[in-house]
Amino acid sequence: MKLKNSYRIVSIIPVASMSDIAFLLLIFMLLSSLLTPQPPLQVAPPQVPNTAEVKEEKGTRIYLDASGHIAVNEELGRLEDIAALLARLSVPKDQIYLYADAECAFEKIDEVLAALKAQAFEKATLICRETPKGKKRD
Amino acid sequence: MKIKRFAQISSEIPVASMSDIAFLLIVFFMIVAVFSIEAGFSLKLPAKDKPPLEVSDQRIIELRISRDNSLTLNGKSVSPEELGAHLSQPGFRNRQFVSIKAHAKSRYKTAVLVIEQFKRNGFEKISLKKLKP
Repeated sequence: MKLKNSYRIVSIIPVASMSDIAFLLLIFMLLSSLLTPQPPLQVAPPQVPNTAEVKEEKGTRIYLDASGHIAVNEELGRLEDIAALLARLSVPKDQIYLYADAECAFEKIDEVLAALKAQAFEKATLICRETPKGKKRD
Repeated sequence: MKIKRFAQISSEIPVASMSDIAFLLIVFFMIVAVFSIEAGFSLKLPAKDKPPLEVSDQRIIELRISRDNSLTLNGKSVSPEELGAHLSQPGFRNRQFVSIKAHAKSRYKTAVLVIEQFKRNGFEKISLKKLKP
């Protein structure tokens, strides 16, 4: 009687598609991650010792410097133009992140908040910088 | 005379390290993504047509920021360093509403530092108002 040859089981894990998987993961990370854009205005938000971490989601960024220049996302203007700049937003009632300079007069912040309220925005986040550990606040 | 044979030149691009490069790029993007987390305070803005909430004076802590950024807590002058200690006193613990009234020309930095002190001491209902210059 002729005995059949048993198949030899190969003990190698196929890794040929590893780079494809890695590149797919890379593309997913690139698409899903939020890259911080270059700010259109140079502002130094106030330093505070303890702040809650704010996970930035896609939203509208408002930059306000001490001299009254404002930028809504990429659009530059003066503080007086804020209502028009907000009205031009493509996603109207978005989350707002306010990057205001620490040296701004409070009336400018109040003006921004009043404009947001007038256009029925519900939430705004005042962005701050956390004081480095072991350093006294200025 | 013996002629040397030329070595055969391979025309293949080595792709063995491709997955290593891809994984290094993934690690880089994961680290960079963490950096986009910012620090700050979330504010709930009042509704446009909502009437103002009426609260009795006994439940309100009033803090005024003057033009020169000095602070007055319920009529008494306090320094920014002392504010936290004042707020942890029992007299303030049963007051739930905070009204921050800042002078129009006072600095935004002072207002943020004050909000931080209130938040740290567990006060969540904070209103901001501009004082006329």
